[in-house]
Amino acid sequence: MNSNILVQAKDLVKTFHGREVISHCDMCVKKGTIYGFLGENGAGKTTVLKMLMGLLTPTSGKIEIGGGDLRESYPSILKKIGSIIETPIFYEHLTATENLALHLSYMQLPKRNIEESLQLVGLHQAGQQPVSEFSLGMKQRLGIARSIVHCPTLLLLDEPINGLDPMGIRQMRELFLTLVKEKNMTIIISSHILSEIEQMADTIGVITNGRIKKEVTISEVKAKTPTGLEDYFFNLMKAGEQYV
Amino acid sequence: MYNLIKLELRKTRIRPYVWASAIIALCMLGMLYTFSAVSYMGSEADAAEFSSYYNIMVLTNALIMFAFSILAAVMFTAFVIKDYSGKNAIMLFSYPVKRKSTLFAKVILVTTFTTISLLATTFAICSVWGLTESIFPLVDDSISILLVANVIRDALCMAVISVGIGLVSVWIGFRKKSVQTTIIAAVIISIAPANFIVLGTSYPIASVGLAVISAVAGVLALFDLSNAVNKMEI
Ligand SMILES: Nc1ncnc2c1ncn2[C@@H]1O[C@H](COP(=O)(O)OP(=O)(O)OP(=O)(O)O)[C@@H](O)[C@H]1O
Ligand SMILES: [Mg+2]
Repeated sequence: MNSNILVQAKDLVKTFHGREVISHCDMCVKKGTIYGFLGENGAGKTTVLKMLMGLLTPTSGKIEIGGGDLRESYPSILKKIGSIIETPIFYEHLTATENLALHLSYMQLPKRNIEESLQLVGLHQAGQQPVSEFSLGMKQRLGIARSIVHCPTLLLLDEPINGLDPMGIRQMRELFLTLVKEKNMTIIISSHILSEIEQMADTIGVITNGRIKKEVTISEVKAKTPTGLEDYFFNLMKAGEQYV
Repeated sequence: MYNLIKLELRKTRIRPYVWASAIIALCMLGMLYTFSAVSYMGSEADAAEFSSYYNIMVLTNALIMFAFSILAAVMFTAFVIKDYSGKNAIMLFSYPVKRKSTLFAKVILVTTFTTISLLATTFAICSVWGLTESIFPLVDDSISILLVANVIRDALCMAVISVGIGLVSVWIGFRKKSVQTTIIAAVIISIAPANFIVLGTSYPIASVGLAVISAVAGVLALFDLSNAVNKMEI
């Protein structure tokens, strides 16, 4: 396998109660890049991300992370993965700092980076506040802090900017770009906010009906559709695979 | 494993259960004196069941077992059912820890707590009762080494039965990830053993037999539960 590739999914299938939700999905994510994972509601983004971190077992197919089979390195591989799957959840009676400390203990790591991570998501003043007093957006920010506090190599972010204010959205975009550049992280991010994805992703994967319909670099998108990702996405949805 | 148990204690507060155990202990002490009073005041026929220390202890044990089975079930809902429901499970399963290890840490914690608090309750109420009985006896009986040995044996049996019932209840409640189902299961399941324990006034071996059955049922429930957790999809 190409050592440039961090995540590779081959021929993934997932059925729920006999209904094939993910059908023969292939995915390839290069190290040190941001992979924008797009698709309509119910297309299968969350399901694929859950399979990538072992929350769901694929009905068939193969997932490799860092060149090794996910099943073989599970659950120790989770030490290297940070994630937000849908809205993050916390131990509400604990403070933000305690929640992150607990997370680090479970990751079998010393309690460091907590302050720094809170700072990065703009929550440094709320560290001692119980999470039960947090707003939706603050929880989302804390979820991002938790996903990076253990310095993972792979970040799986399922709609991480939901509920953030405009400043927050921009801060998080800048944060994700910095993490890739300075900490050499690889990020898979699903979002419906195409303008954001356009500004950070290196590669776009579009999933429809449980299948990756298209995997293209952002420069290919721009070459094909100078008006931007949104138009590209709509054209692709309308025209199908012929839209190269 | 020790670390995982410590982490559980950071996530879920144990203090309410310490209070609950203390309240149970007070109620049980009240029962002991109620039974003693019946023995003191009742006519020969009324008081037959309450005529000896051992018989009074057996009756109290049935109540202790009932109370601690429910306490164990309530703790299992807090430590197991809630943590494996919905999004909590996503959080729990994103840690690089074997799923079975996390579950065992929870079970060890609840088992240890239930056992210790049940034994402490029995010890505390027996000490108080034994002391007052040696000063102002209500029951026409004497304390012997054999009595103490039997009470200790039965207390250990009650601990095993309570944990067993707790495990079977959480196994039932886990299918639907339901707090109510778990607690209702514990209430229903403990009624039969409570009646059976009372037989101990005539057949002291009843509790031991029941403890063996509960231990087997508890281990089977735990085994199936850990497989369910391992296969869980969220
Ligand atoms: N546990 C489940 N049982 C049955 N069907 C499921 C389950 N989880 C997901 N699905 C189905 O799988 C399909 C894909 O769902 P998924 O959550 O992956 O979509 P998504 O792309 O994340 O959508 P959204 O943009 O709305 O978040 C949907 O049709 C959904 O109904
Ligand atoms: Mg989704």
